This record gives sequence, structure tokens and C-alpha cells, in this order.
Amino acid sequence: MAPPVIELVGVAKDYGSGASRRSALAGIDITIAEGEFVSIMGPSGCGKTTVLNLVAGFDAPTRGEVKVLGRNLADMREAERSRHRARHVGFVVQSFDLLPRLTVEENVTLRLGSIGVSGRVAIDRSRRLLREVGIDETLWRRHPGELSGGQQQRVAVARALVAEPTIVLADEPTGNLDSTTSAVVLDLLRALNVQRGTSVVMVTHDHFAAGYGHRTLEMVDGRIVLEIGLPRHAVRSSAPLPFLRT
Amino acid sequence: MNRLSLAWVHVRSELGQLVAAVGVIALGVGLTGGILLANEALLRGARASAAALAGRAQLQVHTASGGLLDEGVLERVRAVRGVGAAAPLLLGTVNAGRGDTERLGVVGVDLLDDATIRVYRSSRGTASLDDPLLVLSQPDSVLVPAAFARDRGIALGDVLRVDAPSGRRALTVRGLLEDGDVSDAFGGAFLVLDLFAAQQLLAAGTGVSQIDVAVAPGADEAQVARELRAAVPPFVAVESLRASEGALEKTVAGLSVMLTAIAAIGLALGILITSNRLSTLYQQRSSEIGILRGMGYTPGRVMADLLVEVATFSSLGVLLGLPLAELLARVMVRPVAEMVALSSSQVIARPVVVARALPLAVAAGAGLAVGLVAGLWPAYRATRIQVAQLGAARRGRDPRRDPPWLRHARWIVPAVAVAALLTSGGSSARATVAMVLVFVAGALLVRPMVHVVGLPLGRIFGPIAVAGLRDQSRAPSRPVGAARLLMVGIALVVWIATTGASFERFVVETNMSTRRGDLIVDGAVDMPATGENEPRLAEEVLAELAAIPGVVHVGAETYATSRDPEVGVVAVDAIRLRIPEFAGWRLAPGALPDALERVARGGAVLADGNFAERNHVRVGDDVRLTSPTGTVVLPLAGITSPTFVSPAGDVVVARDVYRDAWRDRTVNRAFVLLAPGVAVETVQQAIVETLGARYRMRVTDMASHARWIADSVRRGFAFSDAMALVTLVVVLIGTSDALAANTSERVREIGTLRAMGYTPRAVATMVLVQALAIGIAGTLLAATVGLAMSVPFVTSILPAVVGWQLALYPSWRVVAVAAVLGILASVVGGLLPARHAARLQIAANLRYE
Repeated sequence: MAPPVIELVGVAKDYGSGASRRSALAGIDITIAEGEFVSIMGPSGCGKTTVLNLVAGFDAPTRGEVKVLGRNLADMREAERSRHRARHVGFVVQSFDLLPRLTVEENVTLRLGSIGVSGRVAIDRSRRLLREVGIDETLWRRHPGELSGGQQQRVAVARALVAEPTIVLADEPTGNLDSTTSAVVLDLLRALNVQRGTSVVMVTHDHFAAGYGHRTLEMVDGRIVLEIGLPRHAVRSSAPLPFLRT
Repeated sequence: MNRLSLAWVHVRSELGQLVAAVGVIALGVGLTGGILLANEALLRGARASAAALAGRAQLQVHTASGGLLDEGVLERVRAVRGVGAAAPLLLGTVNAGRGDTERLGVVGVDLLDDATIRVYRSSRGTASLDDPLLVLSQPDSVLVPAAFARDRGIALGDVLRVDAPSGRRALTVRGLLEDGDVSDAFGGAFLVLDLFAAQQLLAAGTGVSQIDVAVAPGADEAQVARELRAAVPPFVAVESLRASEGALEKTVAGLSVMLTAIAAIGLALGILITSNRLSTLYQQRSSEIGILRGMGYTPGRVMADLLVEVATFSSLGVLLGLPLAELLARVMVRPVAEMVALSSSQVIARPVVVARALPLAVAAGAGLAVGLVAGLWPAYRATRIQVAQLGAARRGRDPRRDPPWLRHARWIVPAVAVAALLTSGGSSARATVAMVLVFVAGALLVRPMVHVVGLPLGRIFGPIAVAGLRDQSRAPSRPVGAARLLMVGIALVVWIATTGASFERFVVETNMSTRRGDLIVDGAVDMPATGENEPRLAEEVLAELAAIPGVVHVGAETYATSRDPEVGVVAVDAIRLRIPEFAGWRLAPGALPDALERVARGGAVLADGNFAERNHVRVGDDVRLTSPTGTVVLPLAGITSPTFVSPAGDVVVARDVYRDAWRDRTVNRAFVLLAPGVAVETVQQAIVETLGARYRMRVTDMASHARWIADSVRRGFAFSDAMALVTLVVVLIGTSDALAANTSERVREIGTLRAMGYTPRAVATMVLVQALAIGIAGTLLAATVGLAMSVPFVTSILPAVVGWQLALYPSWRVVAVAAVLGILASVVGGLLPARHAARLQIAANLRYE
């Protein structure tokens, strides 16, 4: 059996000190296998985003271990963690976080710069991904401010995937989108998981979105209180999935 | 909560971001206040010196032309009804034996009679004015102020070695003058000699500088002055002592203009930095401001509240700057006093800085004004924010672009500036307009230049650099503001340096055209003073020079200034007008055919173009010169190149004529022509060995003399070095501030870059590349603008002001050094923001709204 891609062992995370000390995570264990799509749900402040931050290496746990692809993140220095993240992790967030002064194409090629890919190779890869997520050539030279929310999120997904990461972390990826557009984005993530075997960890408030995962973890007050293995949903989008095109 | 309390709440919470603005305001207040306090101290010292020397006298008799007065006038003065006492005074300077630049005042007085005018306090138990006969009987006697003696460890009976026009002399200290009264003259750095001894020391013959008159008790001062004017020869002036203070005050005022220019530049750059900072702050508070507007606050009310905040933190800068003003004044006052002493040949009194309310209030006002002026435009822009625009901004649309008129102006103004430059020749008005247009064009082109410079840098440093560079060339942009700051400061430095270099070249070339020979002998040594303020030599030295083996001809020059009207007088030995090897006098077309010979014979004069234009004289017209012995009237034989004695213009006259009319037997420099085949170094050595022990003289070849002239001119523009330093410090602060602001505006983007896997070092590199782009863009434009501004200034404006036609001669060395230092200052300014950006917390920044 392949080793897990993500392992949290006895992970606790506290913020503040003394009287203002607050516990965001109260000692949790999570294991995510290769190719698994896991949703994390819970009310605001339950610690779900903290889990993503720890897995991405943005932050360090107060107690416990966080291992990504078999490596304990605490054993790496800052620069090494950055390079590890560049090579293996893609990130999609609710507010898209595209750089407004760069064009759509440049936003995607920028991601490749972190792994040392630039020039013609970077441009070609970026354009391929943009086509795959359904961003038309006419939009490549536009700036993010000229795109709709759905289009921006698709660009953000392309940016997250262009470096072919092993893991994609998605923090409320459909939070700013309408239901139709949300479904398109979720279908993209699903297709990514199915076709490439990319592990996806998605934080969401939306039960429908959570259903896209193989498993759902429910968190309350920094603890995992429920783990549900939901049946896979049927494909919802009316157009063929781009990754399924031949 | 009232307005002031609310303003204080905002300022306190944003103090970290306002540090740079508060700092530059404090610096501006310090510089302005320091200069005002230093000026006051110098003027106070100058007045104290004049008052100490004047003693009980109310009137002063002296030559209108500024030369020496014959001693015989004294009897006429004393015979006037209402004159209580009259005492002659001979003033001069000598160089002390220690160091090359220490000058001491010499005061020659009639020791038997001077106490009727001046107050001397002699120390107890010394041979002093209590027994003047003892001093008179020994002609090498000198009295010195006690404070002067204490400073230099001089005791009664010690020998002082000085260099005077009559040569190297040894004087014996035979009296000490206690502090106060006359001892305050010249800052206490002077020697009192008997009048006759002083006349011998200064090679003044029987001349005196002035006769000080005390009006008899009960006599009317104005009436006595009238009767004195009637009694003395027509070319002798009688004036109230209050009027004579004006000359030194003018010199001090001239220097203070230069210092004030430096302070003004500091204040102007402070406005730019503060404005930049406030633009950033108000953009960060755009939500808050938009909500206030949404609630119904009028733009005027919002702007007023923002300006109250500006006044609040500006007041902090003022509070910090006021003590800095006193400190800077104490630092500045001594070097400026030395410059006054060198340029006016007067040793100014020890300036004492006193922190007075008025100068400090002016400085405080300047600081507040900087803040308010800097805050006007950002506050106005902030009030234009609408709530609806905030939503658009959150969706990633940036509505704040340059308005169309600005985008068009960015190309129209430079085109007009180029056209203005090409047509600016011959008119100082058109040249001024061209300079202003070039300056404005440079400021407008900063943003496009930052963008253009960013293109190759992006290719070199990769996609993350592109992200940073693309961001900083947007509108509005703090980094573009920093580049503009750099452009303005370095352009001014380049402009002044190019003007100085052009001026230097012109002065050297023109001087050396009229100064020919194999060797030049003068008493200047390393003194930077020029013109009539150069130390002199007695004319007896000429015969001694002529006797040196290998010397064929010796020709001398003396420089003087004739007042009323003011004109420079260049007195030249006839031989230097007759032998081409001695002088290449360039005469303008229209000169009399035998002009030089006429002048040599004492039958005519030459004048430079400046004199001719100011006094509306042409070749053939009579030129009238006021001398101590009367008016000298001679026809103008030709217009020659400038001789740089007086800014009002110079007249060249035969030295025989000058000697008789001005009764001055000293010379400023002697030109030596050697026999063919004689080695210059051999004769140079012989002169030094033969005459060096008795005269403090400098013997140089022509090349060394040319270098000395160049150095003298360069010293006049030395203030541009101070200006460059101020500029670079401000640039460093401004760049650091701009990039820090830019980083804080982009924390979310930086978090995204880190999330993508860019290392902290990559993020720091991005910020440093931005700083590099600022530096390169700013300095490239600065060099272009500075040089372009120099063209009309040097070729059209300066000639209209000084009457000399200069050619443009850029100082490429200064341009290169300024460019390198500007880029370096910018990159150094980016270090802290780069470090800060690299250390930003990823998780927190991704949540930043």
C-alpha cells in the first residue's frame, strides 16, 4: 500500500499566550492517501483553515507532526519548505488571489517560475492548462479585473495545476461563486483527482461541494467529530469534462 | 471626541508608517532653523566686531574708492568744529605662521592718542598702553588680546612670526588686552601695532584705512558730518558708522543665500516624501474614508479632518526639529564664519549661537507648511473615493488610473520642452521657460521610464521580478514617487555641477589667456581667496625677482575695487601689455588700433564686456574711476575678455597710473619670463631659495596656476556637494519609505507568491529589483534633465546675469558619480523593505483584506 501523502499525527495548534491563549487544533490525526479527495467542513473558527495552513507549511504546529509525502515539515528550513511546496502543492482560495497587474497568462506562468520553468516552455504549459480549464485564448491577455468571478477562479485553478502538484489544497474555492459556476470549478477539481490522481483537500461550508470528496471530515472546536465516506456524485456539468476530452 | 483627539488617535496608530515623514519634516525644520540661527550669530558677531572697533566714534572718514587715506587728512579732520576726538586706523591682514589659512587682523593705531576713541583694557602688571612709550621704542612690538594669547599659549615676550606684504616678520608680544571692548574686534584674532609699524608691516606707506571721529559733547552729529565733508578732499567720504556695517552684512547675506538654497531643497524633497507617504496611508484607509462619505460627510469635511491629522504629525516633526536647529547652527557657524573671513578678507567675530524665538518660529512655520502642502493633494484624492468604487476594487478592478489629461500631457509636454530648448538661444526669458518645461517633462516621464527599465530587468531576474516591477509602474504608485524624488534631486546636482564645470572652464581659459609667462609669483600659497582679497607683496620684490639669473622680464598685476560706482581695477605693468609672451589680451572688434600701447603708456584703459554693458560705454568714450586722490578719467581703448575682479565689471589700467592715484605700492602677483633655454624648475628653485625666507610666496608654473584657478572656482560650487549629500540621504529615506509602503499594500500578493513556493530570498530579490529599477529610471532621467536644463542656463541665462558668454561643458565625472550613487542609495533604501517582505507571515497575509 502506497504511503499516505499527508499525515497529521497528534497535531495541536495554539495561538496567543497566557490568558489570551486559544487552541485552534486540539490534537488531531488525519491521514490522506494518494489520489484521495477529502473535504473538511465545520463552523467558522473550527480550525479547518488551520489544517490547510499546516499542511501547506505556512505555519508550524504547537505539538505533533505534519508530514507531507513522507517528510516532516518541521525538519525543513524555510527555504526548503518553500521549494517543497513549489514542487508538490497547489493552492486555490476563495478570493482567487490573482495578481491584478499581470495578465491571465502571466499569472499562470508566474507559478512555474517557482520551480525554475520559464520562457517558451512555461508559456506553452500555461496555455495548455488555460485551455483545459476552459479559458479562451481571447482572455489570455486580459487582466484579472476584467474577468468574472468564475473565470478568475478557473485561472486560479490553472495556476494551481500548472506545476503538476501532487496535492491541491482548496480553501473555500466556491465561496464567491454562484451555484452554476461552483459546479464547474468543482468538476475541474474532481476531474483533476480522477484523471491525474492528484490528492485534493478542500475546506468548504457547502454540503453539496463536500459531496465531491471521497471522505468528509467534520470539525468542531479544533477536533474531528465526524468522518463520513459519501458516495461519489454523478457528474453535474452539462459539458464534457475537459480532462476527459481526447 | 473632537477633531483634534480623533486626529491624534489616527496619528498615534499610524506613527510607525509616518516615521519617515516626521523625520524629513524634523530635518527641514532643523536645517531652516539652523541656517537662520547661524546667520544671526554671524551678523551679531560682525556688528559686535565693528562696534568694538568703533569704540566711542560716531563718524568715519575713509576713501570713497576703498583705498588708503593719506595721513595728512587727519589734521583737517581735527580742525573741524564739533570734533571731540579723531584717531587714524590702519586695517589689514597677515597670515599667521601656523597653518596656511589662519589669517590675523592687523590694527595699526596711534598708541599715544587712540584711547580717546577706543577702549583698551590692559591686564595688570603688564607692559601695556599704560606705558605706550615702552611699546613705541621697540618697533617690533605688538599687543594681542588675552583670549587670543591664552588659546595659542602665547606669553609676554614671545615672538610671533607672520607673513605680510612686506615679507616674513617677527613680532614681539609686549602687551595683553583683556577681554571686552576693542578685544572683541575680529573675534579676538588680531594684532595691535603702532600706526607707523603697521604701515611698514603692510607696505602701506603713509596711508591709513580710516579716521574715526567722536563728536564733541553737545555737538550735533549731522552738522559735524556736513562740516567734515566740506573740510576733506572731494574723494573722501564721511559717513555714520552704522552705514559701514552694511558691507560685511552683505557678505554674510550672500553666503546665507547659498545655505538657504540647500535648506529649501531639503524642504522640497521633504514635501515629496511626505506626500508619497500620505498617499499610501489614505489608500489603506480608503474603506474608512469611503464609509464616511457614504454616511454623508462632505469632501470638505473629510479633507479638513485629514489636514488636521497632517498638522498633528507635522507638529511632532517640528518639536523634534527645533532642538536639531540649534545643534546644526552650532555645527555650521564656524565653517561659514571662516568662509566669510576668506571671501571678505575680514576676520569675523567669534559667532555665538543664541536660540531666539523668531528664527525658530520661522523654522517651525516652514515645517508645518511642508506637511500641509504635502498633504493637500493626497487629502484631495482621498475625498474623491466613493463607496461603490471600493466594491470594484475588491473584485480586482482598479479604478484609479491616470486621468486622460495626464496621459496626454506625458507626451505633449516633453515634445514642447524639446522645441523650447531648440529655440531658447539668445533670450533669458525663453531659456527660463525651456528649463521649467524640461523639469516638468522629466517629472512626467518618470512612470513610463520605470516601466521601460523594468522590461529588461524582468527578463534578467525572472517572473517574480516581473510581478514586482509590473506593480510599481501602475498609477498611483509609491515607487514611482520615489523615482521622481531621485530624478529631481540628482537632476539639480547635475545641473549645478555642469554649470560649475562650464564656469570653471571659462574662468581658467580666460584667465590663462591673459596670464602668460614661465612662472607666476604671488602670496596666495593655498589661500582660496581671489581678486583683491589675495594676499599681496610689496613691489620691491619685483626688482629682486628681476635680479635672479635666467629671468628676462618681470611684470606685475594689482587688483583693487573702486567704489561709487563699483568697478574692479586691474593694474598691469606696461611690459605685460607690450610683450605677447606675457599676455594674450583678446580685444573685441572695434578696438583702437594701438589700444594696448595706449594703455601701457597710461593714456587709456581697457574694460571687460560686463563693465561696458553696465555703464553703457563704447570704445572712445571716457571712463571715470574714483581713486583716493581724485577722479581718473581715461578713454576706453578696447573691450577685453573678463578679468574676474568685480562682478560689476573690470577696467584694465597701467600700474603706474594706479600706483600714483591709489598710492598703493603692493602687487598681487608677478609674472616672470625666462631666457630661452633656461629650465623653469631651476629658476623656480632659485627664487624660493633667494626670496622665500623673507617673503611668504608661492612660485608656480603656468599649469599649476591653472589648476589653482580651477580649484578656486570649484570651491565656490562646493555647496553642490552638500546638496548632493542631502539629496542622497533623502533619496535613501524616500526609496525605503516607498518600497515599505508598496510592500504593505501587497501583503496579500506576497503571501500568494510564498504560497506558490517562492522562497523568502526570491521575495526579497523582487523588492530589491524594484529598488534597482527606481534607481536606474530615476538617474537616467536625472542625467538627461540635468544636462538639458544646463543648456539654456549656461548659454542664455548666465550671460544675461554675469555678462560673460560661457560655453557648455558637462561634468561627465559628476554625472557618472551621481548616477552610481543614486542607484546605490536606491538599492540600499530597498534593503529593509526587502527584509521585511521576506519575513512576512504567509498565513496571516493570505487573510489580509
